[in-house]
Amino acid sequence: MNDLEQRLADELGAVATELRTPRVAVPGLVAAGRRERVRRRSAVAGLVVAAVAVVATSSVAGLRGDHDRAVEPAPAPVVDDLARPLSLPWWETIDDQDDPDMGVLHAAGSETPFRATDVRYLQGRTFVGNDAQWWWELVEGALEPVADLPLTGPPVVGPDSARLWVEDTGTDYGVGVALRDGSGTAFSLPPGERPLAIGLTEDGRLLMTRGAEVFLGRDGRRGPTPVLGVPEGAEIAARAGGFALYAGGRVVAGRIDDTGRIYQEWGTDGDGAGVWSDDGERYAEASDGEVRVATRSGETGVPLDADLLRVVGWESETEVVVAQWIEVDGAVTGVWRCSTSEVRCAEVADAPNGKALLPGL
Amino acid sequence: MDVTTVAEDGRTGSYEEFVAARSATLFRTAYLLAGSRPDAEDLLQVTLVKVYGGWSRVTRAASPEAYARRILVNAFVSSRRPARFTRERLVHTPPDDAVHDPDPDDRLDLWPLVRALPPRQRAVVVLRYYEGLSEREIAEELRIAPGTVKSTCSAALRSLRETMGERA
Repeated sequence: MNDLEQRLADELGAVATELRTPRVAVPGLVAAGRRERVRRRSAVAGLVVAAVAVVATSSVAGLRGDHDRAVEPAPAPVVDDLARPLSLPWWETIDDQDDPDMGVLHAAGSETPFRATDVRYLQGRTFVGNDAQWWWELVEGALEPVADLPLTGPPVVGPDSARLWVEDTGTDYGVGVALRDGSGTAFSLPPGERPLAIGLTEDGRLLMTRGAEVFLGRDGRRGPTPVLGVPEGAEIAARAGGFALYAGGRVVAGRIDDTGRIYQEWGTDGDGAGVWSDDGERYAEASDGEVRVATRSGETGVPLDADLLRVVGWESETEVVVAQWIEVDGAVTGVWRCSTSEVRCAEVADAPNGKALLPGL
Repeated sequence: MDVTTVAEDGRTGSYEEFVAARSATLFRTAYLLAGSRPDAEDLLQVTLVKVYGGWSRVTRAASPEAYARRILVNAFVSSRRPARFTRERLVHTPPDDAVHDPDPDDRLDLWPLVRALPPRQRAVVVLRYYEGLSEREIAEELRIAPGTVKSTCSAALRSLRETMGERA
């Protein structure tokens, strides 16, 4: 310890030592704790109603409801201290009679009332959007608008936390890039097919689509250049360190070279409904009864005895969160944490249940 | 859930016993984080209510006190606005006007400067220099990368040095 550090230790210790501690009314705390539990339960979109709905839906969809309970509680180095099960953000409707679409966004230890229709978790940052394509980023518990206009689609985050989005001005489109240091660039794209932000390359080029066209941009002066070698009908998406292509039951991790041509680094089977890890080196996708995790060196299958599964996101380098999701009514009916190192899944206690938004859904 | 629980390792404890044994320690940390007695009391209350809500987890934790402190620190960091702590006032205190704590500002140079640090920097400073936690332990407590702890701590120390330099 240097002198300043030693003084800090001494002075903080002195302040704490001389404090008069309060008397605590335990019965009041217990009563408040009970109310808090009830509040949490009632905040789950009317949990009783949801449970009834799940039973009804299960009979239609044929859910087995026979979940892997190999570990209780779920292996969870990141279990939230606020009794929330996930470090990933999630949004859930609350029982608000005045505004039935109102819900609460749970993220990074904060609860933010908000009316959302989409939640994204990108490079450790949480974004929420609504039907009108207004998007906000959650920053230290507060929602900050990504732009002053509605976007054409979700914003994306690239290397060095650069953020890319496309605004719909009503007459043309505005492309915005914000860097971590607060600087940024903006330029316009002419009217036409709606451009969508896809990702940023490591050398600062912007990957976007307009309809079937995939192109790279850097700024307004040089104009967009087409990306070459994209298979017809393929979907392209952002991936740290490059991009991902989904086509013909294959998921491809690729890059774009200096000439704007794509090339494959590695690939795996999948329909593209999975989630890439933050470093772009691992891809997890769920199918009935299994969660498959692929890297450039191979694949691992983690068994999970359930169906209608979707990967929500990565909570650590070895743990994937998976939800059982009824797409037609947006209901989450089970959440598991699957360890790729232990090759097993366990149900997450107190997980969102009922109508909920999670990043991968 | 009953407030009396037998932990998996066989330890038996009640919520009431935990509060009686640990609230003073937690309050000291809360005070160093919140910077004022009313906010510290609110923060302690929020923490103890959450401890009750997660009592089964608390009793399973390797260190229930560390677990509760983690709740406290995260509640502080995630709540920049003191109003968030004040859902209900349940902590009974003797009349504050009758007895006054010695004002640390009267004789301590650094404490007012620590109180002025941003919440995360203050949390890192308190955990590092009051609780004596390592960077790795702080990273686990705040669920951030060890490198972030290091940079946050460096920024806090730099800020303190600069402010002290300005005052000199």
